[in-house]
Amino acid sequence: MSPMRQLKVLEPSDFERLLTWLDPDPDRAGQLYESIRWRLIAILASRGCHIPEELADDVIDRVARRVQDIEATYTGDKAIYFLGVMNNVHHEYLRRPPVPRLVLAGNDQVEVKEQTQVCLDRCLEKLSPHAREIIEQYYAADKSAKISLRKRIAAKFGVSGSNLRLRALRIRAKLQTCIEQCMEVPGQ
Amino acid sequence: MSNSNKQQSPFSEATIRRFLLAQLSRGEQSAFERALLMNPQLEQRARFAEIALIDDYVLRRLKANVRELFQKEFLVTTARRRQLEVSKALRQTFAVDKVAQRARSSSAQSLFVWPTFAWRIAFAIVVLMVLFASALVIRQEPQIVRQIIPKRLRPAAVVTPTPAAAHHPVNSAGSADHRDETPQLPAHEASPQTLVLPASSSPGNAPVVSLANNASNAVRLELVLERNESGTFSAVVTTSSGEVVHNVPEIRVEDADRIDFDVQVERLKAGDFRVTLTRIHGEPSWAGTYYFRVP
Repeated sequence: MSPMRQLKVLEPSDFERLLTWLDPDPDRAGQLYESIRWRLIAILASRGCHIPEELADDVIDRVARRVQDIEATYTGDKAIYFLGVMNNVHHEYLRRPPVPRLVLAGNDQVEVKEQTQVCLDRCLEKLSPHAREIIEQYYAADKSAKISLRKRIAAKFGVSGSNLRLRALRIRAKLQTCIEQCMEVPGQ
Repeated sequence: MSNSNKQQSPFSEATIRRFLLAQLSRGEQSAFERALLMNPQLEQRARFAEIALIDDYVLRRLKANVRELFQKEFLVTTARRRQLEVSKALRQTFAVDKVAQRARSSSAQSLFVWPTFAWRIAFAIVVLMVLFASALVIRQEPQIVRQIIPKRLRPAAVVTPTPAAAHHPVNSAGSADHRDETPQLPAHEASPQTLVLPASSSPGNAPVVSLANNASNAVRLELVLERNESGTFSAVVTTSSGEVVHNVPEIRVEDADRIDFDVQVERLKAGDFRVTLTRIHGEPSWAGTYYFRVP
C-alpha cells in the first residue's frame, strides 16, 4: 500500500515533512516509512490488537503532525519515537469498547482468490527458472517429506538447508510484493 | 541471514514465532518491541518468520493449538491475509502437479509393483507344475518324447574309416584324400527314408531299402527291440564281407522299444548289410543283429 493512500487525512505537507525527517533521500525515506509501519503493525498485532493497521496509521499520522515541533530538537533513534506514540494510541484502543471484527463477504473472498491466482501466475512467469524451481519444490513438499526434500534441494543447488530456506523465503517475499502490485493495478 | 547476525540477536526463531502469535510474556514483549524497532535485521527475520508461519499453516505443519492461535491472533492484518491467500495459491499450484504425479505413480505401482509378488508366486507355481508334468510324461510316456524331440537332435553317427583308409599313414601326403568325413546335412533337407528292422530278421528275409527314391542323402535305420529297454547301446553296420561302413559308438535310450540312427547313402553300395547292436551300459552284451539289403 502506498504511503499516500495511508495518509488520506494527513496534510501533504506534514507527510512530506515526515519523510524528510526520516531520511533526506526520498527513496530511503519511503523504505524507512514502510519498514516502520510494518514494525508498528507487527507489534500491535503481537499485543493482541485486532486492528493493528488502523492503529499503526493513526500512530504515523500523529508523528507526522508533530515532526514540525520535534525535528529541530529530537535526537536518537527516530523509530523509538514512534514506539512512544504507539503506546499512547494502544492505551486509547484498550479503553475503547470492543468492535466486532470485519469479515470479507463470500463473493469478495472468491474474487480475491481468483485475482490472487491470476497475479500469482503472472509473477511466477517473471521468476528465473532457478528461483521458480526452488519455490516449486518448497511448496510441493508435504510434511513427511519436508526434511528429506529440503536436503535434496539443498544438495542440488549446493547450499545448506538454512540457506535454502532463506532463499525460498526471499523469493516468496518478492512474489508477495509482485502479487500485491499486480492486484493494485490489474493487468500489470 | 548469516550466523553472525543470529549471534548478534538474542531472539531465536521460536521467540520470533511466539511474538507473531502474541505469546510473549510482558518482559519479553517489551524487549522484543524495542529490538524490532531498532534492528533492521530482526525486522527481516520477523518478516521471513511471518511467511514461514503462514506456509506452515497452509501446509498443515502446525499443531491444533497453534493453528487456533494463528487464526485468532495472527491473521489480524490485511497484509497477512493476503500472504495467506498467496501461500494457498502457491500450494494449490504446485501441489496439484505433485498430487497428479503421485496419483500416476501410485496407479502405476498398483499395476506393476503390488501384484508383482503375487504374480511371481503364481508364475513359480506354474513353472513347477510344468516341470513336474514334463518329468511325469518323460517317465511314463517315452514315446511321446520321441515324437516331440526332433530326430536330428539324437547323437550324430561317427564314421569309422574303412580298413583300407584306416591303414594309410596319418602324415602321408595323400592322407587328406582319405579324410572321409561325413558331410553335414543341410538344415532343411528332406527327412531320410526310414527302414524298420525287426528283431527277428535274418539274411533271408532282410528288408530291402531302395535308394533310388530317397530324396535325402541318408537312410534312417530303426532297430526294433524285443522289449522296452533303457540304457546305452552301440551299433555297427557292416557289409556281408565284414567291412564296417558305419559305427554309432553310443546311443542312449530311455524305456524305448526301438533305436534309430542315420547312415549316409553313399556308404550303402548294393549288397547285404548287417547291424550289430550291443548294450554298453554295465557289462557289454549282445542286444540284437539286424539285416537289410540294398538292391
